[in-house]
Amino acid sequence: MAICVYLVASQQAMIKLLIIDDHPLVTDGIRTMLKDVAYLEIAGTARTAKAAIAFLRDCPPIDVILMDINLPDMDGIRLCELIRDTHKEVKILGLTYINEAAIITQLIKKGANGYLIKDMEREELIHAIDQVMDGTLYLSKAANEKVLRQLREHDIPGKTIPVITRREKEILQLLYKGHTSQEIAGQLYLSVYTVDTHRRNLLQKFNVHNTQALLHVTREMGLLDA
Amino acid sequence: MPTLPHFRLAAVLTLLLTAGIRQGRCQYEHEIDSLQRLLTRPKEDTSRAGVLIRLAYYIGDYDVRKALQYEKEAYALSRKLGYASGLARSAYQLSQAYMSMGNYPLSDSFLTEAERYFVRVHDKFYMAAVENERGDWCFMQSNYWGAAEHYTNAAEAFDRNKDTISSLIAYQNLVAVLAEVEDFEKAVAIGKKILPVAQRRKDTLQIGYTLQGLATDLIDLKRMREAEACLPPLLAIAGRTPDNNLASDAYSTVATYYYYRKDYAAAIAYYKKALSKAETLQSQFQLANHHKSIASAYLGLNDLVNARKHLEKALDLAGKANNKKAQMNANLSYSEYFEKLHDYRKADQYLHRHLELKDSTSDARTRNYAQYLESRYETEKKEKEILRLQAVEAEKDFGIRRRNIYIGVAAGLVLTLIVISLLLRRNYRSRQRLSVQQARLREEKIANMERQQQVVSLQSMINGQETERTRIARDLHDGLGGLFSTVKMHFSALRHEVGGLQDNSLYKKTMDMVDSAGEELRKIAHNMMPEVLMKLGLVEALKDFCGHINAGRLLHVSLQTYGMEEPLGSSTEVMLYRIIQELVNNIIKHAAATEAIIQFNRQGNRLSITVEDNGRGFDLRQAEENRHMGMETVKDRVSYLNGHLSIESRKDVGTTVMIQLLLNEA
Repeated sequence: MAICVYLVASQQAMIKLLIIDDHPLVTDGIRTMLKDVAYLEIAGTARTAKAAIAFLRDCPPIDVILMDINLPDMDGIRLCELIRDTHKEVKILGLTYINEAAIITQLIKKGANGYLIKDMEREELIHAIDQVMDGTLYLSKAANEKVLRQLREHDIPGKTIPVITRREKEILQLLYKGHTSQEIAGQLYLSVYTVDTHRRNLLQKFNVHNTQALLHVTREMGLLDA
Repeated sequence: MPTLPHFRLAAVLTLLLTAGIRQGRCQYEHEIDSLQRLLTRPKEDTSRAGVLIRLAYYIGDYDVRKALQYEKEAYALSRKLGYASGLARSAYQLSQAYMSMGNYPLSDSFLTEAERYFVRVHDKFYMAAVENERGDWCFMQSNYWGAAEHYTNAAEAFDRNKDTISSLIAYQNLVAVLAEVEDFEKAVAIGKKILPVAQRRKDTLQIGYTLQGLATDLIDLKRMREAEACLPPLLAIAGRTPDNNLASDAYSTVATYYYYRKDYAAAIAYYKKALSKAETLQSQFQLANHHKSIASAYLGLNDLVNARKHLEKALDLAGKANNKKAQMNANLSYSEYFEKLHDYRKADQYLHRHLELKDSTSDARTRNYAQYLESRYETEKKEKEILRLQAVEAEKDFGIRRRNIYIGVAAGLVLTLIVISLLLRRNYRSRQRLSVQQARLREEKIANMERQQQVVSLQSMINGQETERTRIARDLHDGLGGLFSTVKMHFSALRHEVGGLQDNSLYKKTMDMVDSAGEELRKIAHNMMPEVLMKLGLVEALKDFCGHINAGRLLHVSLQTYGMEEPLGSSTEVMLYRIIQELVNNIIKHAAATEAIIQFNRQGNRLSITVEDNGRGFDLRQAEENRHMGMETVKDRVSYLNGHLSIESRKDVGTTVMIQLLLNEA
């Protein structure tokens, strides 16, 4: 499969790369890894977001951007968003040291085509570039599973039954028996203020506006059972 | 401006030798006759001196010259006999006589002498009387502050002697002085208080003087209706009193009332009655004033001929009396007279003289101002004393039946007082309670402020700490992390260039070590400051955090957030992240739980956080363990956020930690 891509790619024109990283060492490392890949040309490097935007505006078109998500003058996620506004076609690969799903998710949401953890192998880098040029989303293998799960969670926001705490359950049960906040506070050795906080939290959790509705909803869900 | 036609007389309130014997003229004349019979005996002894003195005293009211003659004789006789009491009394009466004749220096020397003798014989009554006399002496010379002081002293001294009637006289004099300094309100107030005392004693003389003073002051205050009410009883007393002085003053007051009512004819009629009564007294001062008043009334009627007649007499008598006030009034009336004649030059002359005299009296006023202030203060004290006197009199003068009523009233008063004092006490107590509460509140406020101060400083410390952590984490990532990454990249390129290197075990080992070093570095940096927390906020960071924990598969943490769409401010978010980190680490370390819930509920600026596990729980009472559980740092951080922390743990059921916060509107 990789070979096939390789063959297809070789017939194409050179793939022009822009590396955005404030760390010259990183740029240097990437350059070293890619120096004998014939169809990849490092067309430019930028150490700041500002320089990158200027390069994209003034210089010949770029195919793939390798972009550090920690830049001195701008957050990589924001830069990704900005570039996407003006350059619909350019492929963006985020580079990060960290394997944090939330950040990766955000980056993808803002229009990145993939992301790599910086301690990648040469092969992985080339593979990632090929993948995004192919129009496929590339995710670093280290975080693949985790990110995909989180992305799923993001797509289907909490249709699930809220989990209630033990304390909330106790309070619900006492409310169901018709006790007032005062009585509940007395029974559970809590302040009335705390009981009210729990009650308000429950209303918020089940998106209802009064205690009656709360009791109805929670009973339907079977949360009042012991 | 019309001149004030009225005047007031305090000076001639002579004190009674024996209180309350002046019942009527008959008894009076009888007394005089028997005394004169005693004088026919030529024997020169102390009893003769006593008779002379008594005689002079009785005659003094209507024949000053004759009285003066008797007094001189008594004085000479007492001196001859070395009779101290006689000397004292005769000197005292001589002083009075000279004063009414306007000879103040002589009056003063006799008074000083009298005082010396009274002190020697310890006659407390006359020591007080001398003070009263000094008051008169000051009064006659328009030194009203001095007069007020001496009258006050006299009243006090009489009070000490429990001599109610004499102290009444001193009070009346004080009232007169207060009127002179135009403190009519106070004068009326005192007058109204002493009137019932005098009435209860059925003492016509005192009632008369009090009524007269009261009426005059009320006229001055233009409270004409109240003044009018005083007139009938005053006229009744004036008609039957043997005291020509009182009668004269009373008529003069009635006349003044009519003068102000612009009933000049009636005013003249009464002034003339006053004048005729005053003529027997040989008091130039009073006569001058009466003539001047009559003149003013004639001026009111535009009867300039009669006005002139009385003015001449007034000015002449005022000069003889050596009284500045009388002269002043006469001059002013003269000025008005000439104004009516259109002789402005002369009018101006008299006005000028009036003003000169006024200035000289004002000088005296200023001089004695300090004394006046002092006497004013004493006056206040006196008012209280009068109230006490009233009570004493009430008890003394009424029969048992009446007394019972008074006792009833007093009992009622006492009861009221008790109720009031109880109420006051309750009020005081509740106020005390309130002040204690306020003090506590203040303390709480101070404590709160201190805590806030502490929170601010600790927050800035922690913020500094977090900033530092962020910086170090970043340096680790960018610097060291970058280096590691680059090393790996180079190795990767090397392997590509040098064939068979991936089979070299040393190369592989080196690659693995570089890998794990990079991994370690990232973990450290992450713990220092999660990138996601800085970049995406608390909720995302917590999701990430839970993701990491859940990946371990020992504990499943479910995160629930409600109302957390808005960021809370980075320092608060970092603090809350650290708290959750600590709590979850505790669960992992100590609780042996399989499930945990992290729940955030935000409503407006209210945030409540619950962290609950199903672990083995712990005993809250074991503080040592509590600390061991790492709760201390959580407690600290919660208090830095001004939050409330509650922990509930049940054995083998689990632990619930609840944090309630009020977020600052950033």
